[in-house]
Amino acid sequence: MTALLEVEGLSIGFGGAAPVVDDVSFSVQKGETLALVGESGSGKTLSCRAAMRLLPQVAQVRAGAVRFQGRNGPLDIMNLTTRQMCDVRGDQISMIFQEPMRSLSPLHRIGNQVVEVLRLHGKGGGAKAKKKVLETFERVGFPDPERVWKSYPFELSGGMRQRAMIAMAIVAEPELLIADEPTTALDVTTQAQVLGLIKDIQKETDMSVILVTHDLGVVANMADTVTVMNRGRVMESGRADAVLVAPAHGYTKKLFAAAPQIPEGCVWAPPEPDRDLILQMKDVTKTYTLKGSAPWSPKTVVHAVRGVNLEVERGKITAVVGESGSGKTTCARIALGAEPADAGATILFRPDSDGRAIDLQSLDKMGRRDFQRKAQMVFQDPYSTLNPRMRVKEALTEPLEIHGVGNASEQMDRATEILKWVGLSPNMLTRYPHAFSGGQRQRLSIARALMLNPTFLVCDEPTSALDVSVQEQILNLLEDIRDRLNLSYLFISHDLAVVARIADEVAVMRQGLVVEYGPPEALFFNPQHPYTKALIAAQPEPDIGRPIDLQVVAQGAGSPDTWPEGYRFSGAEAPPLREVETGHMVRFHGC
Amino acid sequence: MAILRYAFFRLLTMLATLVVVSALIFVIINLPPGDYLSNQINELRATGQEAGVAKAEFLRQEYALDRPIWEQYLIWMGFSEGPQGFSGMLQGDFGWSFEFDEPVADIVGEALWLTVLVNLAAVLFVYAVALPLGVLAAAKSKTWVDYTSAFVGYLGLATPNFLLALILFYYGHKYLNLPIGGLMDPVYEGEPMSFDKMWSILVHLIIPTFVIGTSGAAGMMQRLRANMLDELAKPYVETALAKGMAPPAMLKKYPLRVAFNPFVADIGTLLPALVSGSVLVSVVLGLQTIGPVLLQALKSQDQFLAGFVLMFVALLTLFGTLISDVLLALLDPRIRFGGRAK
Repeated sequence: MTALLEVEGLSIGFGGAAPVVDDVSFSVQKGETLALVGESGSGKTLSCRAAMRLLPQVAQVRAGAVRFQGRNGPLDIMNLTTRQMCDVRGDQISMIFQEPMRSLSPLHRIGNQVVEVLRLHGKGGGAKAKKKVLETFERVGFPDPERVWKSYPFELSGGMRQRAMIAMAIVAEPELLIADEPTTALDVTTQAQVLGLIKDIQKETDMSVILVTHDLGVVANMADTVTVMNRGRVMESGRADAVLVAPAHGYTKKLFAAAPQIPEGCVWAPPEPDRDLILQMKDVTKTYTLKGSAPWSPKTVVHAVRGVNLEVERGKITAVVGESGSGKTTCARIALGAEPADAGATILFRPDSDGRAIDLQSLDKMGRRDFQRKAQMVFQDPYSTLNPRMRVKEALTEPLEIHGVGNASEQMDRATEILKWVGLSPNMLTRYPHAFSGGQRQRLSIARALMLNPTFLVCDEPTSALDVSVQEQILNLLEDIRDRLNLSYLFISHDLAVVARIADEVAVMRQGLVVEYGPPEALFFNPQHPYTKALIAAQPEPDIGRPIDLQVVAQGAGSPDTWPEGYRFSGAEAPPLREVETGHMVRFHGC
Repeated sequence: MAILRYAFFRLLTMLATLVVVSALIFVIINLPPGDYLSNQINELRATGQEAGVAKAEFLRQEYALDRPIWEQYLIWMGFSEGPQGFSGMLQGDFGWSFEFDEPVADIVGEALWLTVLVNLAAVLFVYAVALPLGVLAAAKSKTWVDYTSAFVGYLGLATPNFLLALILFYYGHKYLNLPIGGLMDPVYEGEPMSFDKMWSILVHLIIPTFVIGTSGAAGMMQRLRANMLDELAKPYVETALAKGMAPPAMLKKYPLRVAFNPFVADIGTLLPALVSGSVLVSVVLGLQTIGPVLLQALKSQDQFLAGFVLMFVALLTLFGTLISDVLLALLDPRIRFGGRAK
């Protein structure tokens, strides 16, 4: 049996530098899925784009062959003319990309962009083509294909746009689909649904798939064969069951060790009744009023957070989990005093265990300054949170200058000390941020937050922009400094596995409400709420024996109207949070 | 339908803006002490020509220059009753030019239309040159095509317009037998429009259009190139290529559509920039546009004439903005459906 696509000895380089893809070979059989796994910079994206000749202009293919054995006979991809290559793209090999938000033209209707594929490849136009596109829309799960045909991309959510991208990719019935991190930018529940969709289509059409990903959980759920890449070379390749069950190469083992997993279950100690709380948020509600497009159109009120209670114990980590739009970041901003909650909320902060509580809702200017010294934030994107024109030492000493702490040499000493704590060397003080990797930048970001010697940190998705192995290091660092400085964290994340790894208490949020609250062991071992169950089920596990249960995901991740009766919201009224076991609360209607 | 409502709404705000602008213009023109007539009266008194003084005094009363400035403004605009009843801008009476001793409307009459004509030609020239060159420079960025067009563009930006005008006149006349100066053959001045007159205007337009448009075109081209380069780096370009589109077709359908927005938005600022920028050129080239008229009127404090010309420029600006806003809404669904998205 010959492979559908065979890449052999591929080397790609930029300018005169050493090749970034070095002697890479892989192949895909008909109807199978190949997963190209690796961290950022491993060359996995370049390798698969070479199969479509969609490389950046400055990249040179230095050696290697790409052979495609499709329905139109064998093709030597590297030696096709541009014209011939255009015929292959979209028709025989198609591709979907990481960012569905930006991968569709914002100014053209979805229908126009999708039907174009058929037109380009001479597969009909007019009513016949439209019919085919509408069928494909239905196939990828759009309930109302006609509406999607007329929509612009900005009118659809991220998951819906990725479905539209998939529709565009499969409408011409290609033999090979290359999916470059197709779900990285999506919420877990959406990810599960999109992956399920790709799998279904594959089963029906016998299409082959190359899946580029850094997530071993996704690999375990999707792949028949796996190729692991690191620094432009293939580390290991083979059948998925073999590689995942018993990785042979050291690098693959390391990747597995770094991948956080939801625990299988264990016992937990119920929390002590008399707790030393550093932060107490009670009845926190936040509404935003959006103006209409014209002065006379009615204003809309958005309920970002609805009656949330959160507590952070001193020296512990409370995590808030939810997908985008669940209100978790608003909670974080309120906890930091960056935004006031609506009237009626009580937010108490106790800098010392025996000290007076500060009421964040009624802070004056001086009080706010003092509070800011005690509460700091670590942001999501380490690339955009550091000013590219400020040296590390300037970035680190700036908070001290603002609060007038110490003289110049004391400030420098502090910066040197903190830099050591976060595992960087003091001689990096004079560098600019661009000289650092993503993980190092996140360390800098943490260092900056620590400069004022705070007692409380809000971490807003601090690892979601990082590779798994770097993520592991940052989580270790966060735990390490928490123990050393007796810090408390409010940890915002959409990744249950990360939360399971680090949190002492977890609040699961959906549509501005906490739907389940408790210690992670209780949540993961004994989840009650359908949405929590969906989140757990949607989390791809790097274990080939535990595929994603789409049934559970679909039920819990849908709108609250589709939840089982006991959990349903009736209009704006939601059921109350009830304690099901000590410290474990679920939002449902009592019997 | 929504677009009509939008256009109507923009038209209302435009009118409101125009009223505010008119007040500003009137105040600024009247900022220097005295006015044309009181200056003249002082001069006449100094030289002992009492006879002229009576006429000037009469004019002062006739045009309400002896009243407080806010009253003068209201009368000028036609909001309140002056010595000749309601007779201001609103009623179509643009006032009297003291300097030329003629109604403003008679002085600017033909110049207005010629101004619009010259600037329209210049705008068309700007777009016709900048569009293909900008796209080409972006598509072939960092090749000789890009560098050559950038060089020519910067040359256009850096050369003073009046200098360019003189050079072009000299060589245009020497080699192509193009006419020097003016917007038409003097024979046709004041004549009714005829085929020959039109032809004469067209031939006379060539060099002014080129001179006024070059720097605008050069700037526009560079902006379009930068926008195109930004758009070319976006993922949807890759999506289009992955569909199997040939690069030239892709370029036209996707990035150009997006990069077009700033291009359209520029119309609003281009019009006034060309009008005010072309004053000097008009003087040098001897064009019968309102540019030189404005210059003269401002110098001699001929307030009604200056006020009218400035109002005309403001109207042109607001119309430009209106056109570009409506075009943008038509072109970009994100603007059109801004409210529908969420």
